[in-house]
Amino acid sequence: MAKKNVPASSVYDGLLAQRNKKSAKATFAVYLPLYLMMLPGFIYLICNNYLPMFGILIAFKNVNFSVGVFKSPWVGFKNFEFLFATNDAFLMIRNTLLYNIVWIAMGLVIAVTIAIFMAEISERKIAKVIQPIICFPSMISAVILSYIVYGFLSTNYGFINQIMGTKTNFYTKAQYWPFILTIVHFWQSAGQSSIIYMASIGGIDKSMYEAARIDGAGKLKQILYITLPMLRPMIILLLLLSIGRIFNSDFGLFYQVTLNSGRLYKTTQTIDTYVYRALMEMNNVGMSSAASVFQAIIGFVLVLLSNLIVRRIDPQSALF
Amino acid sequence: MMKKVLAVLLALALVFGLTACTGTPAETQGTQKEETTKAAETQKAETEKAETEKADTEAAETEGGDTEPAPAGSDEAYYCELILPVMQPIPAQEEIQKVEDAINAHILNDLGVTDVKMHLTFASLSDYQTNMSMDLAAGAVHDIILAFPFNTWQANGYMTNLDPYLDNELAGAMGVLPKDWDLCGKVDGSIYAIPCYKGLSLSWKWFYDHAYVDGVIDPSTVTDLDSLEDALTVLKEKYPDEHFIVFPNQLVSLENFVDHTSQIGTYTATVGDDTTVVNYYATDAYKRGVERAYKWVQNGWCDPEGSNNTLGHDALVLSGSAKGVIMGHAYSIETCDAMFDDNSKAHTENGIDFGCVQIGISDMATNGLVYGVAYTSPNPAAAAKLLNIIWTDEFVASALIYGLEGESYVWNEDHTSIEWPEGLNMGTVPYSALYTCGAFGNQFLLYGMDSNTSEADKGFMKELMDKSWYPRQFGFTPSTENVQTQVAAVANIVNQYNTTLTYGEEDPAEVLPEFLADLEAAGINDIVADYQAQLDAWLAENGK
Amino acid sequence: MEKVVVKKSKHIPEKGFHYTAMVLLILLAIYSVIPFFLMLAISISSEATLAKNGYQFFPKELSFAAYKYLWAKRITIGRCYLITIVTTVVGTAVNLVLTSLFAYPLSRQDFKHRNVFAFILFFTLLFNGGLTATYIVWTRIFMIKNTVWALLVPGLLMGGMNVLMVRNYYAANIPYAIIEAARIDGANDLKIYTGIMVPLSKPVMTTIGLFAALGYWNNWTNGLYYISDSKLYSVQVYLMKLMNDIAYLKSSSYGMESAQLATMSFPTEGARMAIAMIAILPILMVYPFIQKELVKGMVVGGVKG
Repeated sequence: MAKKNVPASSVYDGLLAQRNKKSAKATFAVYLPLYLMMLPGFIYLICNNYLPMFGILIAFKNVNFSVGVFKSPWVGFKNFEFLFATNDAFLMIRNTLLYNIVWIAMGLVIAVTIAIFMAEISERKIAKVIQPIICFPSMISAVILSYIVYGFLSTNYGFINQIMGTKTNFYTKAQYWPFILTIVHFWQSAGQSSIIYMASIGGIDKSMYEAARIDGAGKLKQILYITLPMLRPMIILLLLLSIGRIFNSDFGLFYQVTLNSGRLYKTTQTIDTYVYRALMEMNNVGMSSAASVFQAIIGFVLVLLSNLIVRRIDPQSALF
Repeated sequence: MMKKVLAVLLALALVFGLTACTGTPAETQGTQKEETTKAAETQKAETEKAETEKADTEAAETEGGDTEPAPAGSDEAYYCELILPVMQPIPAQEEIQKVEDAINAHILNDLGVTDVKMHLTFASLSDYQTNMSMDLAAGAVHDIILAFPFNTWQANGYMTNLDPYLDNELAGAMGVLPKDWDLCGKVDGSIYAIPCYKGLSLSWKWFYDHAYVDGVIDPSTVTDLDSLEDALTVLKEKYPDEHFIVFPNQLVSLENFVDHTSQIGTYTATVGDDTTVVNYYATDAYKRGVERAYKWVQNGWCDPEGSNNTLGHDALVLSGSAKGVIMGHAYSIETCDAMFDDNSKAHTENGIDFGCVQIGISDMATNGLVYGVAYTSPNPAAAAKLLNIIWTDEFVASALIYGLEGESYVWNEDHTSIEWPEGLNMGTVPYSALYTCGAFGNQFLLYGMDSNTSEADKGFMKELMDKSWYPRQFGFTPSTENVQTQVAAVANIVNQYNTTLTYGEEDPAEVLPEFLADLEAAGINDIVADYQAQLDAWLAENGK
Repeated sequence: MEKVVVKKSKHIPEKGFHYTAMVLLILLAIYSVIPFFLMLAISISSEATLAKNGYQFFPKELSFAAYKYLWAKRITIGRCYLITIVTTVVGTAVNLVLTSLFAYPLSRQDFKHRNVFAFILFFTLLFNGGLTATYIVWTRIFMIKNTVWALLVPGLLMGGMNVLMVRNYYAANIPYAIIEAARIDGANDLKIYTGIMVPLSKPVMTTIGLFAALGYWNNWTNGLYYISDSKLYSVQVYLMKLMNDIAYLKSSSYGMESAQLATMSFPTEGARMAIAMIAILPILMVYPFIQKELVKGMVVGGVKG
């Protein structure tokens, strides 16, 4: 529009650019300390997170180390074949997804319920004892967890077999493990995961409940119409993050706690354990990278998708 | 919105820009840096060692050693790393250092080798395979390594071709090996590794507690698995609550020896002198083995803990929990008997009096314990030289396993056998690498030790190997390169079924057909066909 | 009139809800601690009891043999402990510094590129290069294999989630006006960071610090991937390697003769539980004191990004 009317636009442009440059320089100088402060963390992110992303390339190569990664031949999607080659590939993807979906859903209900219960009794002294206790199991590692679970499930000595008077070899009975792992998982994570909701409930303005009570709303109504809506952003955020990891699994739980018992694979094999075993058995860097790439990309796409959906429904809760 | 897209693009550009420009140089930089750190390490080690070495040389000189002053030689010497994979516990660093110093003094002063020294390190055997292969994948510098599994490592390019050193540096070690053993480290006509020279053939025995067995059965009637079954039946009637077998998982191997089913890789096998490759899990031997295992468990002859035990065969029998066990050793009946009696004293107050009878001798399928030089080794010639010394020098071999005289072992009066120093045992001596599980150089060079590998045992081992049956393809190891996807899938299936079947926990009549069907679906036939082609080529090449 | 009735009828279910909540939570608390008692019981049962009666909550015969075994192994285990403590302390300290330094600029509303950096950070939560590539980067480029760095650096030094939490805390609890005022007074950014941000963010820093410390204390995967040198075993790595060794022995098909020797030196089941016990003991001891801070930090931190 203005093109014709301003013949000397180039002059103004130059001046404008100069001014911008100056101010850009000035802002940069002002913010230099901030950049410097971020530098160590930034370098760490590059080393720890971004450089490995380069490993995506390995997934498409037949790596021979004596010639080096870069000179190794490209093989296209050949490394991905083993992920889909057999019935077991289907099984492990099914397991990973099912455990994740069920646990995300159950976890949400359990954590929110505990948080609401805790809020209910928060005035009492006993709450100060209960809370640390139920959070404590999350403080121990998968290694120690595997020792404890073995204490319960060992065939000869295990506590369960002792009280039942049986000699069931749990580590060969795949059908029990969805339940065992679920119990173990929530034993460890229930308390911890409820903290964040407890915190959010603690942040809710008390006067809202007062008002509701005056209006005659019962406990259930208060929960339904005040607590849960207030928790919604937090719930959605945590859901989105867990959806992004839906193809990943807790390696310690599925590998250490099951004592890596082969007979359990039907219900305990997840992508992570399969890949780790393939890496050990085959020592094939290409294949294991392929699996990581698969997990990362699907997870990423899922987060984008679910975020899109969330944004449609509730733009305020969307991640980005 | 646009801003966010821009941010994503910027971040991506940043990432790929960074990786793209650091990627390639990083690699060269990496190796350079590695070399410099290595050099620095060597230098440091040298300065640290200068003192001890001096002392050593002085000592040698007073003894009449005719050596050059040590520092001149050590300036050029290459510190060649030797990694010994052992079970826990690993000796303390100071003790390892002492042994290393003694070996280096011996190499310099007694052998007169000036250009190579040993840098001794230990690794945990259980995760050695994963750790080392990842390490090699990452291009870390190593010298002498146990190649495990050799075929995969060779195919991945981890091993140095040793052909140039065969006639000089390695001549001694190659000379030690029996006929055809060199084939175990050979691929496409080139040597990539040297097999350990040890009593590979095992005499399988049934061990029993005299207190329970004597007077109930006559152990001398037990000579094979069938006669053992008869004995177990009688024993079970007499002692319904005891078991005289720990776990039945070795029965499959024992059945292999009956009709000379010889495994190739893990999943395939040949039967007898026929070189037709077949699915191992479909062989008669495997079927017999798992059926017998199931029967034994059903009859209550075995410990019910089965495949999820965390205590091994020996721990259970030595502690008295089981009254008998099947185990394979390369030693004679007398040695094994004494060894069990001795070891049980560490587990129980008064010890248990064990006896044993032989129930089978193993075949010699191949020798999977091979040492080679890593592709990252800066000085493969020196590494080859050190390999040679380890395979041919009595002092070096013994010091690596038993440590130093006076500290970790002493000679007996007539100097025929070494023994633990007063008041110490295998678990408490300052240095012992006995936990290498035999995965080591030349076992026949070790000083004799009466309770472990006595001089007499060495003869027994050699005799046992002579008696053993060798398949035509002894030394052949297949490459998985063409069938990697299938091997990954098959390995996964095998992990699922094999353990419970060999431990006799499931009825083979139901599970074995399912197992075989799953194996076929996973592509075992591709593996069989591929291995067959490799084997035929190998047989032709080696004139078998 | 009616209103009063309604209130009365509401009152009872509310009480009921209150007590139901309490009972359920008490049950949950019991459920949470019971396994630890079994562990303790196993570690103080005599071997004979274990073999005869199996694992019981109330062992028939007490024995401290397992702990005596630990005492005999005190040099090895002591070293593991030392490694664990050193990496935990150093790692946590560095983690706190890196996290808060990165979070502060992100919280500054006037910092133009903060969204870019926030995204760079956030992206790491969504996408990763996988174990193999990470391994190659750390070992090949940075060469941390079998160094103490391996226990400190990979994956543990700065977590995206934690940075976002601190960022949110800064943004929500430290008014920008304070920073503005400080700047007008001539304080530079470093001064603002050390003088205002750090002291004012104690609760969230405590929380982050505790999470980081816990992460270091419990980490066994870095040991699994990067450590093969027994000098550098931490307590968790030692326990993990112990289990692996046992599993390996079980599966090893050859070299039987020395495998026989090897089991001799393995700790018994009781001793293994005792090692596990002393691995969680320090957490157990400090936990009552730290747990309040843990929750407090999360309350004020919030996670919304």
